[in-house]
Amino acid sequence: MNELKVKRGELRERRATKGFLRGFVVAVAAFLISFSVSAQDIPARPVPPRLVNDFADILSAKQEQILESKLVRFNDTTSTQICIVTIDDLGGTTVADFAYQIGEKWGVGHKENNGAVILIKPKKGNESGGVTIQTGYGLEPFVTDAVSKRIIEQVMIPSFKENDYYTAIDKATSVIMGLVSGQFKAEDIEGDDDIEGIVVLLFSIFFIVLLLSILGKGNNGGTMSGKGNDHNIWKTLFWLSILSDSNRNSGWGGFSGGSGGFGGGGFGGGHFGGGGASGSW
Amino acid sequence: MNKKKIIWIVVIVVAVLAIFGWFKNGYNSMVSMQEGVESQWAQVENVYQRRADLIPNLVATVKGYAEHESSTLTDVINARAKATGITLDPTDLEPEDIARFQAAQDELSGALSRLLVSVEQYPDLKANQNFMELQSQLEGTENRIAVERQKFNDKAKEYNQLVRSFPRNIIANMFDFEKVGYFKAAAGSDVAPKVEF
Repeated sequence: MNELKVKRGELRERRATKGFLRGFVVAVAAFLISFSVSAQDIPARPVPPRLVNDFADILSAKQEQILESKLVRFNDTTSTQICIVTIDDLGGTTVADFAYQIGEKWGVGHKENNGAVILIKPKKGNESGGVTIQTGYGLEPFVTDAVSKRIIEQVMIPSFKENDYYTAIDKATSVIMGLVSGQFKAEDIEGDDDIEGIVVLLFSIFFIVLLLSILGKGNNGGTMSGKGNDHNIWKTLFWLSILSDSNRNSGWGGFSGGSGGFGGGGFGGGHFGGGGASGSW
Repeated sequence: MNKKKIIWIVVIVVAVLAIFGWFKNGYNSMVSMQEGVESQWAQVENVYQRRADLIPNLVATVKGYAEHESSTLTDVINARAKATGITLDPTDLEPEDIARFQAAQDELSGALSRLLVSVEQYPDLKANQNFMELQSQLEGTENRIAVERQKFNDKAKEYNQLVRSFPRNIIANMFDFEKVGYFKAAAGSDVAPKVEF
């Protein structure tokens, strides 16, 4: 048993270093991305995937986290991905086009194309600010162009004018969630994967216990020796520990919106057709 | 002697099978890519139709406010009739056909943008809720048109490369897989009419 405890401790440590490494990689990636954008490129898909990508740095870390967990929760319950991107340099194209390209390149949304990209180019000096809501094919019936326009004009821009980006994004995402909720179900794959894994593990435990008991019987000519029994228990414990570990892993995956990418394997390959609306202030 | 015969037969059978496999692969990938081009063409016509469907409503709304713009309105109506009059057979998208289609649609784009510019002088109309909705729908539709056209061009390029490159063009010629046309980004035609005020 002690050995097992040590093993777990090691695992935990390894996870912690992994987390640190991930954070480091993200920081470096974000740094690199902020450069490649000025080279008129669409930023690469964030690794690990994030729904709030504040390249223009207009949100505080806490605001980002609140929005991220709000959007991740929505993704987990309805599989609808609303991706927020803020950026200073559009590389010469329009906000609508930039957001469309991000949507396609990152694959925001799942197989029902239920994704949306909200892109904000903050106002800077004399340059006017720009904002767009681009909806994936699947969202077009619920978040129509006219509705997107109204969200932008009546919900977002008044807050933008007061330099309150967070409120604008928070309110706009809430409106979109209201429009979309109930239209899509949580992605099946996530649940199935978990259950499948557990079933497979249970079967393998059952199978191994069965196999060992048969072997034990065969070796000892029908009498169960103490040694054989021990073996059984250890093996079972081994498998149980793996089982409990894997359970904890999936739990972590669900809550890791802030640091380790969001549940369901991130972006799901949604497609966009240019629907939505834009505005400026 | 017998052994030699058998070897020859085996060689011939293998060669025939290999040629058959090559034909089958080439033909099937052309078919599936052609399907892709056709379904993307349907998407293109879809979004153009979407725009055409918005126009009667737009014209009716503008008419109520801007009586003096009757000639601009007539232009739009005529251009719309002309544009919706052209539908292409998706199995036969020759470059000339697509050019003809694009020309008619571009004419409609031009008439529409002229109308939207002339509307600038009517503040009452600009404040009309219905008109504002129509405007945002029109804007979204122009974006959709740009996107679907681009997607069509990508699909068409992929397909054209397949049917025109050697040695697959032999199969393409045998079974009449023809090159399809592209949308051309002629001066300003890919830029949506400015409807932001």
